[in-house]
Amino acid sequence: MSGRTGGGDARFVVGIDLGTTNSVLAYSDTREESAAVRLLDVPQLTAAGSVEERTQLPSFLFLPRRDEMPAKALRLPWGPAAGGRVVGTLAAKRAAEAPDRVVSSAKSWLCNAKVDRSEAILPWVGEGGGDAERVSPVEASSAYIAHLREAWDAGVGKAEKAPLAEQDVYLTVPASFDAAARELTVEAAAKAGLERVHLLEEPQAAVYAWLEQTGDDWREQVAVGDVLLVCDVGGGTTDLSLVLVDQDDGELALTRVAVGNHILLGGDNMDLALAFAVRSTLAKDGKKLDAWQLRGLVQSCREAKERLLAADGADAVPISILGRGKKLIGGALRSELTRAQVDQLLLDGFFPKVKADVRAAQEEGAGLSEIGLPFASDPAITRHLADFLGTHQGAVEAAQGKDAAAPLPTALLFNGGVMAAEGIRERVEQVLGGWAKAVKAPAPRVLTGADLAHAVARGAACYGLARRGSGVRIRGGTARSYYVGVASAMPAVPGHAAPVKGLCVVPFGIEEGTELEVPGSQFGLLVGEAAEFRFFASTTRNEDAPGQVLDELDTEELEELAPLHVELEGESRDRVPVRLTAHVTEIGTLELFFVGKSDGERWRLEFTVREPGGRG
Amino acid sequence: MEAVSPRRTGIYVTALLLVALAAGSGFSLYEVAAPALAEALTGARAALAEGGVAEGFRAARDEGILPWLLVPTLGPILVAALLLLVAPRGRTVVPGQATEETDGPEEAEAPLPAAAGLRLLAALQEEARLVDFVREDLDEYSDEQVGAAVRGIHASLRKAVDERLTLETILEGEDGDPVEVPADFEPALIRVTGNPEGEPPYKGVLRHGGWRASDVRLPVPTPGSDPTILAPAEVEVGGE
Repeated sequence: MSGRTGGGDARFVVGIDLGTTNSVLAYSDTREESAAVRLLDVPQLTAAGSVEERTQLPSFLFLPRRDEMPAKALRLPWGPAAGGRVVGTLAAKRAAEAPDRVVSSAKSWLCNAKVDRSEAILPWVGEGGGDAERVSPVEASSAYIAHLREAWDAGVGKAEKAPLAEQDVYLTVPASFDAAARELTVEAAAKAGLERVHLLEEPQAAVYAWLEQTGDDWREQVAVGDVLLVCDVGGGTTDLSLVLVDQDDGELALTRVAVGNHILLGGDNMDLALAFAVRSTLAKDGKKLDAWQLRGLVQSCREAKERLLAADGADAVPISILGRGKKLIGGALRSELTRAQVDQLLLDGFFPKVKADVRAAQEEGAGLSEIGLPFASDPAITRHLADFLGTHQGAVEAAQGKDAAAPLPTALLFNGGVMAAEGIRERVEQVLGGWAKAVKAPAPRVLTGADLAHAVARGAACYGLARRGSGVRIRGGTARSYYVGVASAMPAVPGHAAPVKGLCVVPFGIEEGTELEVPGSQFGLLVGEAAEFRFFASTTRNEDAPGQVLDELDTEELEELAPLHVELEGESRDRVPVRLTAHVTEIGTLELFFVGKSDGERWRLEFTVREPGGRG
Repeated sequence: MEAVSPRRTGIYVTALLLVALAAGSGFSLYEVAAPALAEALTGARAALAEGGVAEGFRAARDEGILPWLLVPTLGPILVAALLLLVAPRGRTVVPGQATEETDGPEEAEAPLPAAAGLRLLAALQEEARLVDFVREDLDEYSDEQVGAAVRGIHASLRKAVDERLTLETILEGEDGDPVEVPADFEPALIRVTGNPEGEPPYKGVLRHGGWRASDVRLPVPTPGSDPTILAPAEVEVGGE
């Protein structure tokens, strides 16, 4: 790919946190000496007829019916929204009342390989949903980015004559996003008019935000050999990463050594759990709630949760649900949420005190799966944490050296809205402290992080500044190793599919901007015919080298991704000898090519995320 | 206030030129140029006082030079109109500007002066049911019922207000604390009651710390929408 990449000469360095529930844009003006990072106030509809500025843009897309709201009431300062669609606060407000017309959690769909992610499937209504308007996960993500771009272009961009498309934009993705989801994110940005973005893992962005906030003091807070656990629990997802502190020419350096799998579990689940508890208390008294009242209840529970889990929190917080009609007092329902309930439902339900050697339950097809998203079947975040640390024990040991007391993190950085609740942070600390105590290791220190709701966007902007040479950079590279499925040369046995071997094409930890040829990857491809390859990734097989062949595809270690396809144009039906090369691009995506013998013969393997000949 | 002055100045200039030209019926067309302007202005003021534009035009018509005046009359009007188009109209609203750079309330080009206020009320109704509450007849309910509802209203009202206004007290301290009112106090900020004698500084007791909205982030009405609708009527189709 040509054109300017990181370290370009654009005036602004922009970080965009494209969150599951909220999106944020942070920026820094490189002409300023201080290079301060600021947040963009994003104008958005907060009600029909009202535009207000908020630093967070809720990642919701509302597709109103033609007569649902007057077009004039949905005009943004820069003009009418495309297709009359609404992004932001108003869309989020409508989500509970009109779930079949509001897209939510588009990002979680972006990494769901079980559906066609460029097909118009959202809002998800299950099989054979009505004929209402639908959009694809890529389109919805693109709508959020487009709103941010328009807000920028009408604000800072207009004032400084610096449209967003010409700035250095860093877009964050979960560390657990695989190559296809990353590529789709880049595609969504391009659709939104941002042709040139770089990707950054969210937990890394949180670390950059912490570095910015601590300034030069960070070298005092961590030491060589420290293993930093980034525990990022947002509205919809839990994302875990390990960052090692080591040294490089006598200077402290940071390396991301492991990332967790994609866990669809977050604050929304917790607020719902509380709301359902209150709802069932009310139901015992014969009081029923409609969707509108439930929305209010979820909101009240979210606030009550934070008050109850505060350091000197109350023992009970009264919750009142107002009547829907004009008679709000006559129709009001009263209930309360107690600290004991929150402790039991949230702390023991989502953050139970478990042993270090437990593993998260992995059953498929739990009750939630009909909704379409592969929600975590085990709600216990601490069990996922134990699982993650156990799985990556080797990486920590390798990083810490053989004398390490225990493969446990020594420092802890929290991120995400859920971690705003003090009681939850304390519980995670206790659990990790307990694991450390069991092996006589010191409990991990908690690093005071930045503003949790905006840290990722700010961190992404800081990363952009770091790429220009001001500030420390985290080394990381690819968070997974990748494998192409190759049919083995065994004779086929009737009734049995030919066994498939895995050929490692990209090892773990390859830095951006690297191109490598895969040894032993000779294929003969037929011209004019499409070839499809199975594609796998692993977050645990960190030692595999390119060209290595796995005889068995262990589903414990390998996750199957969307297949890859390639077609050599032409009609000859000749077999062309080709070899595989892998390119980890500057922007953070993965490209695989078949390269022919003669110069310039190069065919790209595409992720199969859409049906052949589909729209797009 | 300053924002309208270029527009008003433009109108004055145009009117004065028109009257001056109409009154100066003896002038040859091309002599009505810059040197004559100062003198013409004085004459124009007199003509305005005596019946102004109409008088001037009548005289011009009687003299039969009206067609001649058309060109120099229309010219300045065109120039003034162009000036009005080009002239800056106060501060432009820059949405999406950083918090640090936004100082004070923004001037929205509202169809109604009260539109932003009405949108605020609509927001307080939507998020905290303020209008419903104010319009509710409390006599129908027991104190317990009112109390339960008010908790909900209070919490959401506070959140809705805090989102849009940054409120600060003007004088720190508890009610009843002794305070000194400085000699150079600002009467708009501090209201001195009781019987102050002589010149400030005064010694007194704090009765109310006052409130000030140090930052205002009012909702901006979308262009062309009707800001007087505080909450639309709701009809649920298919509900019972």
